[in-house]
Amino acid sequence: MTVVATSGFLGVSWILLIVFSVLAAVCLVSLVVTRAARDVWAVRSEHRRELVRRSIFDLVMGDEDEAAAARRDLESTQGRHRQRVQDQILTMLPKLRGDSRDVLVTLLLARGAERRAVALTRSRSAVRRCRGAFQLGVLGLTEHLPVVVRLLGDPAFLVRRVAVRALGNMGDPRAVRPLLLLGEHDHRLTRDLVYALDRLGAAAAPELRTVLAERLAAGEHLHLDPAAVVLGLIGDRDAIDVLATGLESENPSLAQACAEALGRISAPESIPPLVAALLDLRPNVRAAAAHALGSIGSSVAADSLADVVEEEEPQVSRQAAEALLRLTAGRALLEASGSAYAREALALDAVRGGRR
Amino acid sequence: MTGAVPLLLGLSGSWVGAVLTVMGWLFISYSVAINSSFVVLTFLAMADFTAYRRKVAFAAYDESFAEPLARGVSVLMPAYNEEMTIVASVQAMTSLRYPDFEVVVIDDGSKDSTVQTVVEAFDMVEIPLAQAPMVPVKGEVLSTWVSTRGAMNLLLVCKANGGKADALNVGINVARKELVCMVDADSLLDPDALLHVSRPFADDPERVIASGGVVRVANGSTISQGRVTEIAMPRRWLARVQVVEYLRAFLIGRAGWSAAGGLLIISGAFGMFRRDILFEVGGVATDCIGEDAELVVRLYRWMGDNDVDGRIVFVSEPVAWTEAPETLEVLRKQRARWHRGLTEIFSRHRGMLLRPRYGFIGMITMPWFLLFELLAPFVEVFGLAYFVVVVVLLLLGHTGLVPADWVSLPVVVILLSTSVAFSIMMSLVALLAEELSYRRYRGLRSLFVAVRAAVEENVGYRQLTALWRVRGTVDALRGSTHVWGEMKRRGFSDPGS
Repeated sequence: MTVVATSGFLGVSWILLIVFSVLAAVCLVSLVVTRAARDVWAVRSEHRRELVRRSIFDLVMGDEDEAAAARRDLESTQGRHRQRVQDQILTMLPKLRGDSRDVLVTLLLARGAERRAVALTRSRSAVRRCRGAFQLGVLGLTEHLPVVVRLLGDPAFLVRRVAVRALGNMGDPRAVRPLLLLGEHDHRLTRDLVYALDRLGAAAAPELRTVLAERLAAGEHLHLDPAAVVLGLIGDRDAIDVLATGLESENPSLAQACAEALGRISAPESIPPLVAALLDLRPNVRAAAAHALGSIGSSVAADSLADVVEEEEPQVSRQAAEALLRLTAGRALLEASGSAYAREALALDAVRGGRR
Repeated sequence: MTGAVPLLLGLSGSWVGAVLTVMGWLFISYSVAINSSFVVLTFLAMADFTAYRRKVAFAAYDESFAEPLARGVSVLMPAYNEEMTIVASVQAMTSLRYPDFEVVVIDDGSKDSTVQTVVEAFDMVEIPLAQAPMVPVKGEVLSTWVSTRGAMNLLLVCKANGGKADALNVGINVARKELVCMVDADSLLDPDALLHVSRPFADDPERVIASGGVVRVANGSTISQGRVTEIAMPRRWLARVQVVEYLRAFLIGRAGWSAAGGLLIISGAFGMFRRDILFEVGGVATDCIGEDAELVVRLYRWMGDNDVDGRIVFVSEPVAWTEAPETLEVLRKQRARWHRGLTEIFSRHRGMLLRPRYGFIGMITMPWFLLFELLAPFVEVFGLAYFVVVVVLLLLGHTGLVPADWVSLPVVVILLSTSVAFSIMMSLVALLAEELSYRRYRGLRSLFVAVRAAVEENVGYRQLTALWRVRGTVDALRGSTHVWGEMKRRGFSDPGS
């Protein structure tokens, strides 16, 4: 028996030893190769990029002769280099606006970028589908909106994320509804949704209001935060009614987002619902409402805020005290208050005043 | 770490042989179990890296920098007798990139001029800051200060001495933002650290209650004004070995566990928490060595007890740099302390073990940590002793004092090499993962230094740390009232897993 045990040990150990050693050797070789190749490659590609960057710069900023020469340079590229030039222009596009952007988009479209981008969205590779969505987005090809909307349902998370952002770059408010409905499924896309909807800007506001109102009426309160946040960022006064309704949502983070949005819009009409929200059962909603009332800055809310300063939830008291500072009638109320948060707010304000 | 275990044997029918065989088989089984679980973790981590690589490969991924959803963050910095370094560390903290944050320095009754230094360096004035009476504290707050510079987002709280955990609790009460970030005074943060680690909170504000990021060893890199500016491998062997150890632990251990959904430890060098949740659980424990790790376990326990659907998330971005011990003496204390902390956590929260109520953590992560983390150094030390016995028997066999066939040399050598080969392989896999994902290190030279460290940690380093860790557990079990008076200790940020 012991003999069997011994040979069992030996056999297994030999196999393991060989497997581990081979794997270690493979790792070592790949390490050396990747590290060495990367260092060489980094230098070369940086050099190439610099040349292309200069051409692009001439094309958009230079005088007529320079622009023509740069255009010739960029158009005469062939093969893999041509592909790289196109990729580089595409990554620059989101940072550009106006004429410069139009010049580059025209150049890319003349070289068949549209067809390639659409083809990419049908690729089997998730990374290629990402590229396709991204390219359609930065090129602003709104006629392909349905293609990108379809990618919102892609099985690969990264493709969905890029598609969300691409719809933002595309700038077509028809994307609002599909974007918001998608947000119901995946909370990891919250930030991307805010980015995309914010980029659509004021044009997106009517649809945002409609979808938000519909959902609130239907009693579905999940994952609408991006809509509320963006209405605040846009500063859409027409959204006050629907945001006020959202304050009463059973979803605390949506209610908070609505209060914050009302604060960003800063219109006096939202004072009554915000004052009502100061009595909400959820501290985060109360705190956000207090902060919003501070942003609006009307003394109408002073007494209600002064009551809240005395409450026991620290974050709410502090927000209320800071809000009161911004109200004309607030200072006297703070001085009358015995709360530590009132004292803190006054002391901080005194330092700030001394610095001014 | 992976059990340098299996050694041995060929034998006669003697009872010595029989005992040695049984023990040999025990070592083998333990080794196989621990190693296979590592392989599983590696595969899980690999999936994570591929996703990360794809994001990086795709240039447009992170084009937006504006973060309207970013929640306010209070960075808590406990300090004790740090007049020499405090100004530089505070400057580094206040220059982080984040839309809405404040830095709260909590002086835990320093005996030197830490307070005076900070007050003068940052033009601070005394202000009665309100303290939420939410977390119980020991040391009384003596005074609170605010910097009159810039956005006035630097606070200083002076309190009577009560230890690091107590200082953190005071900080939690004073903090004015929704999120609280706990940072070791000696860790260096990446300028974007807060942005990275706060993202999970913005993504899923209802459920995410804590998050942490990757910690790296800063030794050897160039540091200026509290920032790591140029990344390089350290020259000293002890630091070199730890660089590889951290890489392996964070890249494979943490990322793997996080992908599996059962991350147990957020490093004390950098963790972010929701303040209201900290109020709920009563802040950090003041009677525990590894208060940061204990906090995470307690959060899991709190979620299980109250049926809260929460998430504790690991961000795979490297966010913080820490100075690893350069002398054996300091390293010994650190490792003993970490293991002591781990032991205390297990004795305190043993009620979570194998309880379905605590989900993945209770059923899988904690038992795994118990078996392969808490007990690993014991097995390793046992294996070491075993090896010594075998070698002695072997020598005696040669001299004819005992039968020569009790142990066989080839078996011993093969088993030992297998164990070493496995550990080298795991380190190389971690290096490769780093190479394919974050690519922080450059040049072939530093690569060879790292590979060399992966080999040399098997000679001496592993055995020594195992001994020290055993010592840590023994200390904890004996409940020796060792006082960790000085504060400038790193929390229990055990890189091992």
